[in-house]
Amino acid sequence: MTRFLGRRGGWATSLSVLVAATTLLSGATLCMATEQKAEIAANARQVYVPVGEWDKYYAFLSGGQSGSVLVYGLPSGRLIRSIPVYEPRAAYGYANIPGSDSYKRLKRTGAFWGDTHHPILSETHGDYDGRWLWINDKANSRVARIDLSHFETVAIENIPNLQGTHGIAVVSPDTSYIIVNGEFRAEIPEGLLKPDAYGSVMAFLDPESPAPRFEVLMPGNADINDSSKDGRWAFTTIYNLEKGVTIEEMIRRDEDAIAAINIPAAEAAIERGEFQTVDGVKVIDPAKTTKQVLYLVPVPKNPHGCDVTPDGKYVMGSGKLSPTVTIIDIAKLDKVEHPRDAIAGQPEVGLGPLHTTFDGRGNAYTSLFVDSQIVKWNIAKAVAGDPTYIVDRVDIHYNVGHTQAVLAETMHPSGDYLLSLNKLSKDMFLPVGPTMPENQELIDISGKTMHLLSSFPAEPEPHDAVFMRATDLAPKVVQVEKEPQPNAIKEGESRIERVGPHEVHVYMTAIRSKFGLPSFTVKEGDKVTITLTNIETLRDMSHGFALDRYGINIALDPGQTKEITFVADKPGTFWYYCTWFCSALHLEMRGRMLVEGENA
Amino acid sequence: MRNDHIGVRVLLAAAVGLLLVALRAPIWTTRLEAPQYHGEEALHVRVYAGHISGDLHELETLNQYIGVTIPTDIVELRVGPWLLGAFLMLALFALLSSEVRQHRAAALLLVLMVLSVVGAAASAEYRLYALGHDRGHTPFARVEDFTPPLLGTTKIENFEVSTALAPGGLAYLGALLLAGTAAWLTREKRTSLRAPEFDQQMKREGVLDG
Repeated sequence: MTRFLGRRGGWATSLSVLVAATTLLSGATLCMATEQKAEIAANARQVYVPVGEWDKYYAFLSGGQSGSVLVYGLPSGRLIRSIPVYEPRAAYGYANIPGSDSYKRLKRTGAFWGDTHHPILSETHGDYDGRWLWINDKANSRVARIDLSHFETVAIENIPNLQGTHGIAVVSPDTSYIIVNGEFRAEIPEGLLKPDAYGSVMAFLDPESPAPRFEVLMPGNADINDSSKDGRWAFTTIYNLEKGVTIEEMIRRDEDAIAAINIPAAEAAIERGEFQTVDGVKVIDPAKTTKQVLYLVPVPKNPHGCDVTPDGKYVMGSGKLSPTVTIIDIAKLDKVEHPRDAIAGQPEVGLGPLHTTFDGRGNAYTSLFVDSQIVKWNIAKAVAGDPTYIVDRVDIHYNVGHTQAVLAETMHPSGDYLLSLNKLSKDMFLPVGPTMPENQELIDISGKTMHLLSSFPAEPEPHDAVFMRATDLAPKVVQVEKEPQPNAIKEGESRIERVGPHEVHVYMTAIRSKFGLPSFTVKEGDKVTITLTNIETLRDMSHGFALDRYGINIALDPGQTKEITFVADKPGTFWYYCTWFCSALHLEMRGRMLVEGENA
Repeated sequence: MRNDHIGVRVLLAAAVGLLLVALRAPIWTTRLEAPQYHGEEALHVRVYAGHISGDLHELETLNQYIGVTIPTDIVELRVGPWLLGAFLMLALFALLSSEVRQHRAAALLLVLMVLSVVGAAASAEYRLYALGHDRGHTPFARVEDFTPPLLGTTKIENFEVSTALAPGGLAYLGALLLAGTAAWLTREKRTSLRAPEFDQQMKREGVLDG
């Protein structure tokens, strides 16, 4: 052919090939760009919530060392609000005034900060009932309960005999207990330096208070926990069976365990008196009970996540330092000769598996910290030993910790979205200094393959998340208090009363755009109690009461009454004003506290 | 149309029922909608025969910007239930009467109800005018004088104000129409009662002879 075309023909051929190749390449590039644009548009459509419409899900993310709970809407990833738990928040009038209940609660239980890790939701019949949310404070051995009708922290308790309050879970299906683990081994009882008396416990809490009903001694560091769907078993991953105190000592063994506590057996042990009371709590030593309470299933190596499948059949331990997930058949636990025989499978999934979650269609999704991936795998295939159990992988940015599919901790996962809670964000957002925001990534899991839809930032640092359908929770959320509190001040009842030689009580209403009293006069040194009622009946019409130079701010939602007490120790004029921009006359909504000097 | 007792009684019984509704249900209603009070959160005022209900607390709060004087004692609301009660009794009387008495009662009911409508509309118009013009206390914000419509929609500052007859008002109008129909239907009976005189007249004039 070359010969036929001659030398000029050769040039022509080369030129044609070049033109054809360039055309093809441009065509392919154009196609790819168009496809990419189409994918971006499709992703945007999935996460865009039109103005005025609501997200499909509430996502409750722990606020980590911010000591709070963050409430996002999904799929939009919009921050709706945060709930202060272990930290004061003046905007909501939470724990910012020494006399307030919320302040006293934090002071009684420890520090004015917390390290929240795992939010959990109350269940009825294995599904979320929208009553309460609990969250641990890893740093100060505390557990708090939030009332979801008000999105407000209503109870906080110290949990004795444990440090590093880490794993926390609801005992399904009807919230019979809240279980919480001590991840750090320390003296039990505390109060003396005795390293040979180190131990850790799993505490079984009364859901409402939430104070311990009893505790069970654990053989190592109790990490992440969960319960069986029938309420019979409490599970936790255990690492450091070595009982070491340094990293080197803690990773010596190739196997640690998933511990399973037989809850009826533990309750029976308490009834039989097989416990010691330590720091006011009944503590069971599982080595000393008549009936076996504790079962240890060997799991490689320093396992982390502990997750029960929605059907209640398996509990899974994610390997962390082993590339495997260990699948344990719950029904076999107390029937096999050795707990090891309850292991139904141990699929390799990737490097650094930390947590596993579920779509309710027989698939598991495991976060791979080291690989920076979410891996989707089929449970039945993994159990059957079918080598094709890996279904899909998706890259995330970067180093995922927890991952949760929506409603995966109930018996009915929604199977549409999964949240990847990543530990590092690096280049994902506008730089805001060396402290980077955390990165959450939303993944569509409704199809066979996963699609990374969007990412959104958060304050440091969410560890874990739980979700509720908006249609289940929104109708239960109070927006205007219907029943006035017993100490509510009615319109026209604002007044000041001297109740003692050095004590006054101020009763005031707040409504657009006036406080009930334009001014009130006290004497220097008076103990002043102010009872303030927001008498609005309109949704979203909050008022505040900030008192200059006295460091006071109260926040009052419509219908709410709050009370503060302080000593008027500075003579002069002190303006109080509304801190919530309530109306066109918001700036004029103010008054004066007149403090007469002692020599006046 | 003669001897249509049952039909007329049914109409009058229905009128009694509708007057009962008018006595209990709101007669006239206002809906106020603004950007921050839209959809389900629109404000409502419902006027009954004897009282006013609705988002009065909120309107009173807003009123500090507008400076409207809301009368505390509205005489029409004191008279209203008694008037409706009297109409109810009259309708019952018509229902239980017959022949000429029934007609007269129905006709009287019609006339009184029409007069009441005219009176109520006039007084309401006056009240609405006074509301937007007779500004008793200094408003916080400058708002032009206004008159909310008796029936219809208008814009007052950022509020779209719509007024309409409520179920009680519609029931009243229904009762009025029924009373009117009853009066009309019983009219022929009155003529037949006078038949002998009529016949004599006809005879005198030789009409019947032809």
